[in-house]
Amino acid sequence: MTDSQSSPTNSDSIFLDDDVVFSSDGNNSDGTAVSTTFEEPQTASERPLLEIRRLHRHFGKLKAVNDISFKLHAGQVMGFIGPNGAGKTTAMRIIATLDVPTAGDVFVGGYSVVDDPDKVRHILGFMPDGFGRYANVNVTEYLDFFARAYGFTGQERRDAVERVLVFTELRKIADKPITSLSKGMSQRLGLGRTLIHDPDVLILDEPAAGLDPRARVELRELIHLLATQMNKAVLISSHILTELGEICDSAAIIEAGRILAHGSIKELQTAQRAARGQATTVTLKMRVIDKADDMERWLLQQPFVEMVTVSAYTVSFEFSGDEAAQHQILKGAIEQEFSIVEFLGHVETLEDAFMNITKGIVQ
Amino acid sequence: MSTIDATTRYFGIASDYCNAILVKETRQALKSRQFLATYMLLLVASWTISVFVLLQFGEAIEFGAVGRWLFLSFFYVLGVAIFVVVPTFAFRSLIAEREDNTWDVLSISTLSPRQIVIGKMLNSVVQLFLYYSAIAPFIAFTSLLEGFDFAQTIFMMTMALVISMSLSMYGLFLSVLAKHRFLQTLIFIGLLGSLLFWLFPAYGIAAEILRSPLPFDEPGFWWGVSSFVLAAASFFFLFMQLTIARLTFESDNRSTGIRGTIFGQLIALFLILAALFYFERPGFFDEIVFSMAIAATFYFTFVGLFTTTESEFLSRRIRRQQSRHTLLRILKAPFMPGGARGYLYLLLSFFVCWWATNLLITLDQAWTLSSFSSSEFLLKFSKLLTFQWEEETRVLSMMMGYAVIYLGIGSLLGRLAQKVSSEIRPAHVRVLTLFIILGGTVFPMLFLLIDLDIFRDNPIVTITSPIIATIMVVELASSSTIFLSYIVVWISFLVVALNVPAMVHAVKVLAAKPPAPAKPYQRQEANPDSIATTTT
Repeated sequence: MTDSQSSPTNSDSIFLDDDVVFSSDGNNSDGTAVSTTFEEPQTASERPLLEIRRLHRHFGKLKAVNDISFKLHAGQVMGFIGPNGAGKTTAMRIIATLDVPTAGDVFVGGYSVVDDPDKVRHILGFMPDGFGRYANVNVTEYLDFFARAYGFTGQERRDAVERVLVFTELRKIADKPITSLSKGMSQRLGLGRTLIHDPDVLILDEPAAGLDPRARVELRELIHLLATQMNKAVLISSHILTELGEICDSAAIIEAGRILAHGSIKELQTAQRAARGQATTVTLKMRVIDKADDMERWLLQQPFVEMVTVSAYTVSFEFSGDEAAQHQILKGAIEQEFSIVEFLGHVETLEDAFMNITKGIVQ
Repeated sequence: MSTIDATTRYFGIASDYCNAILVKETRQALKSRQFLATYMLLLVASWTISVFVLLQFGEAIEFGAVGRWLFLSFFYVLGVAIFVVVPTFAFRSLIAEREDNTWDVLSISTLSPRQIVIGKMLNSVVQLFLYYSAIAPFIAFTSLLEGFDFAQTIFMMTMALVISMSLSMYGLFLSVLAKHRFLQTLIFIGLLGSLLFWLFPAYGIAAEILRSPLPFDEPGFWWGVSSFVLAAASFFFLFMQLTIARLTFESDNRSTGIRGTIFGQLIALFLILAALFYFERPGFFDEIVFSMAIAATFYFTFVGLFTTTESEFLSRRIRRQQSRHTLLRILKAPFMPGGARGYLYLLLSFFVCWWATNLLITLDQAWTLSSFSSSEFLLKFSKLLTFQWEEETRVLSMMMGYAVIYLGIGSLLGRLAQKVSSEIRPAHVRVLTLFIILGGTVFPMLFLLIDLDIFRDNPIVTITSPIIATIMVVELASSSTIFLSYIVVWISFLVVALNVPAMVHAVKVLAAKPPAPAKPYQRQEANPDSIATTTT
């Protein structure tokens, strides 16, 4: 029924499984799974709120989701990243109990999405990409309907609607027909609907798609609040990686139905470099007013420094030491009386990790 | 507090006890252009008819039978709304959920598919009552005129309500049959066409009813009406179960509701027949029972094509929902999902149908004009047990035998095929079974190439064909055709025997202790700042 024993397609892929040893080529000795252990956040409790266990979803010969596993704890925001057709939405639909896996399972709050979808639905809120809007219904009526759909009655229902209107700042447009809302307001309403039953796990599929910069920032703040103040576990997919990098504690990168990497962004980058057989180097830059050539010569004599290049008054070099060693380099340069005006360390972004890890494979 | 505010408040409180879908759909429907346009058109058309009739007849309206025909005109106007618009609206309401991408968020709410379907149906009922209330003043006006028959009007309006509700449920069922837009459009066109096509005979029947008054004082009329309403109600529930099943989550139980409803139909049929026998004992009772039993056999053969070819897999979720009492679980086995249990269901249904039919016919035969002959009854009953069957019993047994044979072989092969490859789906097994039936039916035709009279001389060569063999048994009451009918019955027993291991296993799966229910969810400690108090 499954092909869970099949080997990964990418030799350098970083594949998750908590009990599997991480190897230098990104594969296990048996060629099945490769892992980087994700450091769980301090605030998270021991039991994950969301656990995906060897999930498969096949459509005929197409393996839309092919043996993916990861965990998500309370208060954690995880980015679910991958190119179009990677299997993100399929996986999210299974988590949201809209589809069933071919093999494997997903546990939300300890409940299986296959065995207990009704219980999962009480704990989980799903905001799909491009959710529909009912005609002839205003904002309050829309939220009121979903409050009823989640079993709220009387004052409890009115309170649920009110707190969502307040949280999403939709109070002022409460009587507006939802078909006339802007994209940003619609996304807020969608998030509000997702929160109406106060779920502990939120699955947000491309929530920032089509939003203007201001609406994106506002949405980001809302998601940040949900995780940090309300202790919700949030799984969020987006193509806007810079946005995700700012709100996510961790990320899972999926391509061709497989998780290629998973962990914090720093861990992803480190693991990726290790998988490619590179040392854990960073690119550092120093901009000086003069004597750039003297600085180049001086740097080449320092430990951990490689590949020094000079461009005008900027000296760039690969540095494989830790932060204490970086400090020593800067201190030394100042003692040598080089006229430094800027010291830059290249910050690895989620985008860098994504571009390094994915190969643009389309199924 | 003003009256309007108070009314709104009371409606708000009352809505807490209503289906969520009903509240939402009613809100939407009352604001929708389609509903408002239909409602206004209905009022305008009724008003125009009233004015036209008043102008046409003048003072003469006080005489003759104008009331009857004026009511018919209003009924025609109402008919468009309740026989075409409301069922179409019901169809569209579920389709629109998918088209507008609202289905996903609705289906992952805690509303069950049953609540969704009932909510959609109730919305149709609300619309029906609104249309009825719109036409009511015009009919009230008509009642003042000569020729208006109050009893007939009530009867027609009630039957129209029953029919419209059944059509709405049928519309809901059709809306879940296809997921692709092209197929949905085809089904929509088909539905609209059939509703319009049905409208004209309905108008004709209404006119005929008004032309010749209904025999309200005849028991036969009420037997007919009761049977019609019961049949409509049973198919209403069946279509509801089918719609719910189509919307039910994949790992959940999609079969029991349908199987239970269909079995209920069978029981209801024989209860009606028993009541008919007890109260009326019509002269042709045995023919009624026999024809109903044959119809039930065909119906259950069609149903069996689906129940016997289902996947045997019984999800953990379904097993967990079962009773903690082993006996109850075993008794419920024929109604649980799975091909082997479906075959058991078919056998149970045929068993009930066969015995109920023969008992009623035997009772009828044992009942003379004035009294019941127990010796006659026991004699005929013993013949049933010793396989000395009369023609009706033989034909019925033979037809049931064919269903048991072909569906049993299909079920057997399907299970084998699914063991060979997991790619084999229930739909494939269904097609395979159909091909087997078709092959068996056509096969005897090949003998005609050898000899045109071969069937007459050797009825046994028709044995694979249910149609030709049954015709032979009915047309030629010879010893060889009688033998043929018993052969079919014995082969059916053999096929049942071949399926016994699978059926036993299917029951054993249910007899095993069900998995423990899931423990209640315990929320992890959250930050004291709850959503209720947090603002951005």
